[in-house]
Amino acid sequence: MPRFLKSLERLLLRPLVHRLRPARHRGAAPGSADEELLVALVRAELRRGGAAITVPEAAGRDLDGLVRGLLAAGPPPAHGIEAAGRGTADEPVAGSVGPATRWRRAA
Amino acid sequence: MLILADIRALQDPLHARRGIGSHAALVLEALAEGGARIVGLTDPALPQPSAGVRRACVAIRPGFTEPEPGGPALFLQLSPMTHDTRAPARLLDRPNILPCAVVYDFIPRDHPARYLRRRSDLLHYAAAWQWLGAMRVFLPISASCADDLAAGLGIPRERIAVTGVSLRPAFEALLGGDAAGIPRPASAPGEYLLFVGGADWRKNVETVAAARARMAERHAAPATLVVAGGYPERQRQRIRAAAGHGVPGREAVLFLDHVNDAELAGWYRHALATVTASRAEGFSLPVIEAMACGSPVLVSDIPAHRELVADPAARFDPDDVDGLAARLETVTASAAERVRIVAGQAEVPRRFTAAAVGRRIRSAVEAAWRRQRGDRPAPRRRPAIAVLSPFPPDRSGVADYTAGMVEALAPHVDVDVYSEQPAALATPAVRRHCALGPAALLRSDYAAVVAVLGNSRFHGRILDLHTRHGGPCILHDSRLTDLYGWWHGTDGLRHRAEAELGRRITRRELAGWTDHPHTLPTLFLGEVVAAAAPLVVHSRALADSIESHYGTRPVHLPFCVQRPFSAAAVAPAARQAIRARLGVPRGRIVVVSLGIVSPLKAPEACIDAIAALVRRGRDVELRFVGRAGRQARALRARAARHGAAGRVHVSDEWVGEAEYRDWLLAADYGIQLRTHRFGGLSGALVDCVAAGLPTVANEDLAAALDAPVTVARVGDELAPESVAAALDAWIATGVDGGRDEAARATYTREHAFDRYATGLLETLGIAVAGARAAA
Repeated sequence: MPRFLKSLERLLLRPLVHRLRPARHRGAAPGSADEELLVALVRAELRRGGAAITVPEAAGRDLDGLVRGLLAAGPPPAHGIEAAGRGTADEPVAGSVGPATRWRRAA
Repeated sequence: MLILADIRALQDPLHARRGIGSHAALVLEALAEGGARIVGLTDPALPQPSAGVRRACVAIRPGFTEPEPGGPALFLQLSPMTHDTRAPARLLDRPNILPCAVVYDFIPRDHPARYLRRRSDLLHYAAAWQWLGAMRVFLPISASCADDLAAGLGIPRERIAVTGVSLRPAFEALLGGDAAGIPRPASAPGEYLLFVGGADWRKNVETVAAARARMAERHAAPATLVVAGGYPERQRQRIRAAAGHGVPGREAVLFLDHVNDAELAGWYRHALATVTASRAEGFSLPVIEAMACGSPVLVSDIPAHRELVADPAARFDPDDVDGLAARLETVTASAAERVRIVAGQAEVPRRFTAAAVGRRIRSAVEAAWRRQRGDRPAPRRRPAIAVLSPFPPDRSGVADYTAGMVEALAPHVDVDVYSEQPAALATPAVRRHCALGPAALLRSDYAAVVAVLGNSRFHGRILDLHTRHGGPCILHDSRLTDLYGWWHGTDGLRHRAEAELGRRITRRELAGWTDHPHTLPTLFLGEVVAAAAPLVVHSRALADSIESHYGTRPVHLPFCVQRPFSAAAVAPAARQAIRARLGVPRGRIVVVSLGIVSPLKAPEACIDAIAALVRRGRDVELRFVGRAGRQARALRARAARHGAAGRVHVSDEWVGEAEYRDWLLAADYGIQLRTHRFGGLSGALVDCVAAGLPTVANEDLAAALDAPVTVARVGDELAPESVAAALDAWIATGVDGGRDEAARATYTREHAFDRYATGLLETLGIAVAGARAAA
């Protein structure tokens, strides 16, 4: 992964939260680019069946709902091959897909 | 082969006429020539694609949905790094769709300080980078770009096919040997070096200008530097200052503003050399254009150039001014050296004819398609759909309708309902209730995501999601003025009206339309219609209106009976029992008007009609079965003024389901009127028909619902005397006048939800297989 992306992933959530909170209070939509990257990251994790997805509590209800909704779809089936299991936002999935897709919230 | 192509780059004026746009158009044409059926997926907010692009596609659709859900298709991402990645998200990671991306370069990734300075640009680019991981087939325009894909994303080489970029026709035509005859441009200044680029930092004209200055230090009359491309004046001044001295009557640098391809060919042909000094490129069109014209080409030593210029003597370090100056000295001084370079480069552009590039594109895509089809086919799952809609206990007719629709869909598909109702009615028909939000439109597991729109406050976020993402839409109302007004405010409504009508709208005009909807000059449905694929409406008249206003024919699925009744439930004995329970006096004729009382339902006309019947000596009463709220007092006063005090019953409170059903069955006749037209619907009128209640309705409303003979039609001007006359004619025929059990039963059967569900799934392209085993 290019270095700029690594630092970006590390930096993503804190500024995301700080940008979103005042925006929500103004009744505005979440930052478009923030949401775009978050969707890309969550979907990439689902595709990989890899690491856990952790979004801080303060991310707010909109992003909470978005991530939960995406995770509820479970990992995508491989091309031409049914995936071993399908996860939900609250339950670990069975088979080859580990607990990585479980929804977790930071304290 | 069905190809779903993201053609936003071909809609977007920033890209459509530039390098990305011309290559993307060639990719489409090449695949269309190979027999692929290409469906262009668009962003309705961007301009329409050109006629050429439309010709290459068998259909153009708004939004990113499958025309044949679950069927095999190839998703072609023509420009993966430039547009919102959320739009195609739902087409990726699907077992039936093979995703394929055309890749140009990763220059912003390598130079983020220059190209990703804004945080939003950085986040967008990072998102696009992540999505490349979802692609299965890659069509990079150069081998160096392929190397980047393999190294940066770990893409296996067998999934990468380098295509190159094609010469434009004017340059390709010169490959037959016509270059020698290209005329010298009239404004060409003696001997010159040509640089073709633009104001972008990476094009690096500064190094070329500095090298030319070094030459000028040693020569009295150095060659002029001709620069083609758009440069702002301040940058021109800097380039002139860096390029050294000119000669009498001739500046050191000549800038070409707008030259067409034929003129540019002349500039290439008669240059001492063409110099391309880029610090980074995905491919370099000026290099092969110059070669096609027979110009000796010197290029910077970067990966994309090494593929095109094999001779190390024709390459230079892009930051080595002295090295370039030395190369230019040799080339400008020696005709033999120029001839040698041209001879060595002559064959290169032949690899980049439109036919050759098209063949490579077709070959790569078809091979990937064959491999995919050769794999074990994706198992067919029971389809799942998402419905974005209000849902009970939301107090909305649309919510009730959706609940009925979902019950009928459940035997065929899994249904997730996305609503703002925090305690949505639990029913086995709904697999999962979810909070309304974009997740449904960003998941890959739904065969369809259906937005349900109506003209009430429940639909604000659904409107936003639908217009942003597009896709299937069920439209319940013939206008959305109240929704736009409530969600976007008066100014938002006005802007919508101005966009549709193409003129300024005053607040007074707006207020007039709100109070008198039948005077609306437009339906306010433009953006909803543009984003819908398909659009479903429940009235043929509304389908006609939309087609005449917007040129798009919606699918008409007849509005369903939501409260079906058995023959026994509407039989005289059952009805008499209810009347007795409600305390209806013997011989009293009960007329009802159902639903929340609103000025749009002409309650005054109903009262005046009843008053007329009372004056004729009929023992009749009118009940508004629905909350009248603040209008109650005025309506009672009107009844008193017209001599019908005590014969008109108005409710201040919400009328519950049981009471609603009781009066529907107990009544002798109904009146359901609408002041607005355009084929608007009335669930209450359908209830009247389903209950067998003879009902007077205005022509527009009755036609919209394909009303049977139990509905007497009056003119849309809603004259009370016409309503009274229709009722009086039925009363005159005696008990049960106007009832027709056969018509009632037929209408109920033909407007049943199970028939609607089948039609809807067919419209969505979802095959209705066997019903769920448990159902």
